[in-house]
Amino acid sequence: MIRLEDLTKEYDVLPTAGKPGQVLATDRLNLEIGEREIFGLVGPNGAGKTTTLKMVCGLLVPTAGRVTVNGIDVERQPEEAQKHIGYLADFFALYDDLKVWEYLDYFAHAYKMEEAAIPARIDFAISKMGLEPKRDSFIAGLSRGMKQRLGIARAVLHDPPVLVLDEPASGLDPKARHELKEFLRELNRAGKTIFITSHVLADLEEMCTSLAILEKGRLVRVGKIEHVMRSDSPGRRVRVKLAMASFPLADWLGARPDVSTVVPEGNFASAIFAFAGGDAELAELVANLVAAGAPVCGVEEVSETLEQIFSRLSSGEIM
Amino acid sequence: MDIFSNPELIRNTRAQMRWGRMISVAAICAVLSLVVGYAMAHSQSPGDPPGRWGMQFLQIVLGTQAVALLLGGSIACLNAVHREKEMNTFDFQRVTRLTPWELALGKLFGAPVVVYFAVLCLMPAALVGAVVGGARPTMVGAAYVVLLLGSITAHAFSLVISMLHQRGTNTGAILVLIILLLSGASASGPRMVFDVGALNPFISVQMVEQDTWQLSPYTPEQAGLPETHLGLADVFFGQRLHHVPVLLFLYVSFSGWFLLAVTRNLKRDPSVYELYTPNQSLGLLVYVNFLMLGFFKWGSTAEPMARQPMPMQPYDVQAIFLGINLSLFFLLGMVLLRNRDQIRRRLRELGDSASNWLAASWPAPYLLAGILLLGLATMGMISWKRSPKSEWDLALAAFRLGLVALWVVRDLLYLQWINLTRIRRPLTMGFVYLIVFYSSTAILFATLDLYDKPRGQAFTAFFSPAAVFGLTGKEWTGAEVFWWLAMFCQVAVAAAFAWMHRQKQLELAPAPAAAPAAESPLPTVG
Repeated sequence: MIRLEDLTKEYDVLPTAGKPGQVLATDRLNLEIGEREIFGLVGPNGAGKTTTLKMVCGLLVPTAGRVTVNGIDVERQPEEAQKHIGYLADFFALYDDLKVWEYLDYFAHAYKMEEAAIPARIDFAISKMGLEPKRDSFIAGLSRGMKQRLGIARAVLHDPPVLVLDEPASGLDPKARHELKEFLRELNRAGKTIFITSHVLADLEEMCTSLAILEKGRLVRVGKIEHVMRSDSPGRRVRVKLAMASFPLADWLGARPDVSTVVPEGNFASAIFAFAGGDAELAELVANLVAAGAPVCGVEEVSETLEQIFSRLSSGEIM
Repeated sequence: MDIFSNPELIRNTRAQMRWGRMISVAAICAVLSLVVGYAMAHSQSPGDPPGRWGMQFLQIVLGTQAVALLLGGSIACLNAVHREKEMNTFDFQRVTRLTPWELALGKLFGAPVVVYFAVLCLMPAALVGAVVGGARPTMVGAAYVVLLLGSITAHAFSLVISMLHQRGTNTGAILVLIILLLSGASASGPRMVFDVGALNPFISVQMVEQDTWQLSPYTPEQAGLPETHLGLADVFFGQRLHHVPVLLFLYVSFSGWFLLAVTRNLKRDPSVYELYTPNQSLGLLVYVNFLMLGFFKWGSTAEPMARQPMPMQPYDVQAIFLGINLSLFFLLGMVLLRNRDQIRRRLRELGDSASNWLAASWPAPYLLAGILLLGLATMGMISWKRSPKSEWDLALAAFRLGLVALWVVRDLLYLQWINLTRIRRPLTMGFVYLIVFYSSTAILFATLDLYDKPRGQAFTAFFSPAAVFGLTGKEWTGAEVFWWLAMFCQVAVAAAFAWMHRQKQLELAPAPAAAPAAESPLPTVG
């Protein structure tokens, strides 16, 4: 559906002390996103996420490489490719002097939708984004969140098979964010491919079917979400809780050869650690811990969150 | 998609033509019309012909409409693309299915929609003036067509500027536009060397006074004062033509050229804007030269006319064309300059051939070919039309042409090199350095009296070849070696800038593929 081949974008910034003036925003990216994927792109600020998305939409010309959407070369046939794309930018403005329905009507016509289908489609987008009460309001009077909803409504208005969304949850309240997730899942079930970036990694973890982590323009991890969450994991992570902090838990755990990376929590009444053994070895560890006098009140396996994986894999350096 | 269902036009109309605003504009126009009409009717002297005030009223209304359309409309178009870019709304327009042509037309007619409405609101007043003043209906119609098409040309030009100008330069761009429009309002400029009347749409204010379509027996230059030249004949390659169709043809053709630049680039990534292809740029200059050669007052070179204070010598004529083409080719060269993004793309697409010596000499080949081609055409016309008694040496004329061509190439290769340096706004800085260079050398050479001596003139041409415009047999004799050295100097400096350009290209070349990009264990998904 979306294919990036050796996609490279090099640009200039004014040189400052210790920093080069020439930056590789994306460095020979190769990626293929299949139909019906919700593909998340994660990376620190300046990693090249927005640049990548803009090149997918044909808004930026790559220095080298190419992008195809539905088999159409975006650089050679931009209008044909853009027919298949709905795009939402991270920072955007709307036309303040238009009303909500006028704004959507403009884009419906600009996307050359069938005239007869336009009113129903505008109604659908307005209702899906919860904008009914604001239908006849001027955009200038909308809140930040409402404007974000209108931006999303515009992106999905012409029913494109591919949605390219740069930080779509930005400015939304928790309820609206939840509704947005549900809406994107619904669109995905209806067959849409969604290419999305977000700094709310928990949302991406919950929603995406595949994921890539981008760092300084290069992919450091890419694959199905389960694979990315599992791969390169330092081992199973276990949390042990004590009833009271009277036992030197961290020291005791740190002395064992099958335990590593002990992180005490709270008032030293619990700790998370990486454990190299299997279930039987874990049972033995707990038994020894109890035998050593620790008032153990809970043991649970902790899976690494996307945020933790991201923090571990990414140096977080801003380019 | 017809123009009235153009989404961009409808958007602009909806945004700008709310009832409140429309009523305000209509009310202001009505009050102005009534007050000015009343004042004109009551200021008529007893000796004035009946209906005189009506004609004056019509001219005031038409003048107001012209100012509104030309200045107001052009400023609206100047903001049309630039403001969208500043607001971050332009990318959303670029990803729609609107073709560049539809988007350009929507902006061309949509951005100044309030101005068009104000012009319409003033039409009743104009009609009253025309009827009372006894204006010829076809002439009034023609005046409005001239005003409309002339305004569209100015608006199309503003769209080009709007597309190109950068953040923080809006006020400057508006000032330049106003100066251009006002300087164009002068009716006397073109008539000094060309047999063509005033080209500015403000001429429509004078047109309504005309009561005949008959051609004047005079050429624009002979007719003298602007207000009496209406109905006159422009002369194109010896053919007498009415000024109105000439104006309309020029407006339509130049609107076409401007819109070509807009539609070629409007939906592109701004970092790879290219106003025209090299061939289109050359085509535009050939077209402009064709018009200049056609409208030039060739008669004055053969037999001086009664009102011509001094007949033009062939070298003067060549100097005029060389001077105009120097500016035009400088602009063409600017259009063809490549920026760092474009060079990087070429280097990655074409490999080593994008950084060889031919690439390093860009845009010299096009400039040289164009200047020499058009310069030779001018020399041919001069040789054909000149008086046999006048001084004209083809070899010297060819030298003059060659030196000007190399001068343009030298400066454009300098600008091409500086455009690849990593400084803020390199082209602007390049211009500033050029202005400082030319100002300093001119002051220095004038102080040293170099312009008064033949060898001194030739010496100044080493640095700034402007003295070549005054080069005739008299200045040439005895200073030939210096002039040839001046020409060699241009070649040497141009070669130096080409070398520096090549170094920049090599700097921008991608690093060897020895360091492959980090491959992920799973490069594809789905």
